[in-house]
Amino acid sequence: MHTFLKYLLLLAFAFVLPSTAGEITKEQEIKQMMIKKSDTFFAILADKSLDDTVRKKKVLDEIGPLFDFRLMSRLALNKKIWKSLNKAERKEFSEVFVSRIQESYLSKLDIFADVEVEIGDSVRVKKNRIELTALIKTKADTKKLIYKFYQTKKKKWLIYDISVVGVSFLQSYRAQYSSYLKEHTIEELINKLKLDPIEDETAV
Amino acid sequence: MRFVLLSFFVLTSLFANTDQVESKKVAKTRDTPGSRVAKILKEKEEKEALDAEEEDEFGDLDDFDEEFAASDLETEEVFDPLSGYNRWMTGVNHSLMLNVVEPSVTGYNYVIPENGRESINNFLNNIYYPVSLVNNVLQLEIVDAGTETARFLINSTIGLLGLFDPADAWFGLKPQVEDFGQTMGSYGVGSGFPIVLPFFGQRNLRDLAGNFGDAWLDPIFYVENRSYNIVGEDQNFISIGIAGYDNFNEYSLTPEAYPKLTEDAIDLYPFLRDAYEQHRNQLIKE
Repeated sequence: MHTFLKYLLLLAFAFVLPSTAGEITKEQEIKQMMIKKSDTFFAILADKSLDDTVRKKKVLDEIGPLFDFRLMSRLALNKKIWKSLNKAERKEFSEVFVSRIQESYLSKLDIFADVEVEIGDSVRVKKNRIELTALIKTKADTKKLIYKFYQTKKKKWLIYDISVVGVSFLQSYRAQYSSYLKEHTIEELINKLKLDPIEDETAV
Repeated sequence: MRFVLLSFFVLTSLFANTDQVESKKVAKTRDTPGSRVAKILKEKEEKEALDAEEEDEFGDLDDFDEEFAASDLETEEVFDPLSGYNRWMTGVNHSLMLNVVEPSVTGYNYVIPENGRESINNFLNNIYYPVSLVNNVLQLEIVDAGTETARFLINSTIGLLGLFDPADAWFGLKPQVEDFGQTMGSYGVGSGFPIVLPFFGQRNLRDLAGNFGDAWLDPIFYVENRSYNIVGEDQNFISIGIAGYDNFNEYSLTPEAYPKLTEDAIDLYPFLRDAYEQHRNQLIKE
């Protein structure tokens, strides 16, 4: 009986071990993927043969698919404001917002020229949420950045928010927009977002 | 000729009348209570269908909204009695940054090489040790207090009086900087209300009080007054000057960050106020 139990245990391990030992968790998979993306990103930045427009396009093609821009545009406004918009307003806001954040990101690429990025821990904070930490080392200090991923209905993992030194990207937009919309209409906000930010002298 | 003029007059008035009739028709259609109700119902249906589509695409959106709910509430109910002054001072500081600090940094960076500026930054960070030590101890962060002590000892010796940071580079000891504002926050003291300082920028009442507390421990507030100090007899001027220089030097290491990060804020003051609060809350939590 004793021997039989031993064999049974061995048999159980034989089935369990291969399936767990070689298995890579989703957190690890995301971490590995982001390390590769980070390497590709810095390789594009360092490629002196590329002109500015091609470099930006390459960065967007590489990094863009990691983000759920449509969801980000939805979350840039709080629920109450979003629900008050009609179909056309929601569509226009989404388009303008996405285009603006992409432009804004691409205009800041030179900030990354002098920094080093170290991809850190990847932690599942909820069943359908993973947070990946990255350390951005500048000449002055090291800043903590968190990529927030969620699992889509199609089982893909996409970024919906980024937090830098505790400042959530989406929260900053939500706070600004909800404060702006207390005294302005959604049309005014959309028109303001359409302005080139560099030419927008009325920011203060 | 008279006939032509008459025909023209009659035709013009006819068209004008047609337009009026048309616009009256439209107005009449808009004003009908039944049509208004139908329109509202149609819009409602359309929105419901849209909400269902979005839920289908993104999953549980309420789950996301809950994630931001606490911060939304903070933004909605922010107590800001100095908002007029704060907004004005943010504008002054912003203009100062872009028109005075920015060109000065360009010149400064030309004169002092990057390695030199990094060493100045390391030196000033190193002498902040007493402040970090006391605040780590007050927060009962004993391991972090030990890390800060080890960093101070390593950087002050091997790091040549703090000019270099071998504690991080060779031993992997990351800075555990703490201040009295964070200490008060960790014991549940609320942020009070926002205050924007000239040049030094965004603060809140708790952190401003914290700055005064920290000044008692900060070596730069114990600079000896000497006869050749051009700023005069008052030591505070020298200390505030050094604190300002510290900020200026740190800024010179990443000069592109401030203009780039603020250029697409649609309203700068609430943007900086909210970012400051989020950042401080995170530091208190850590």
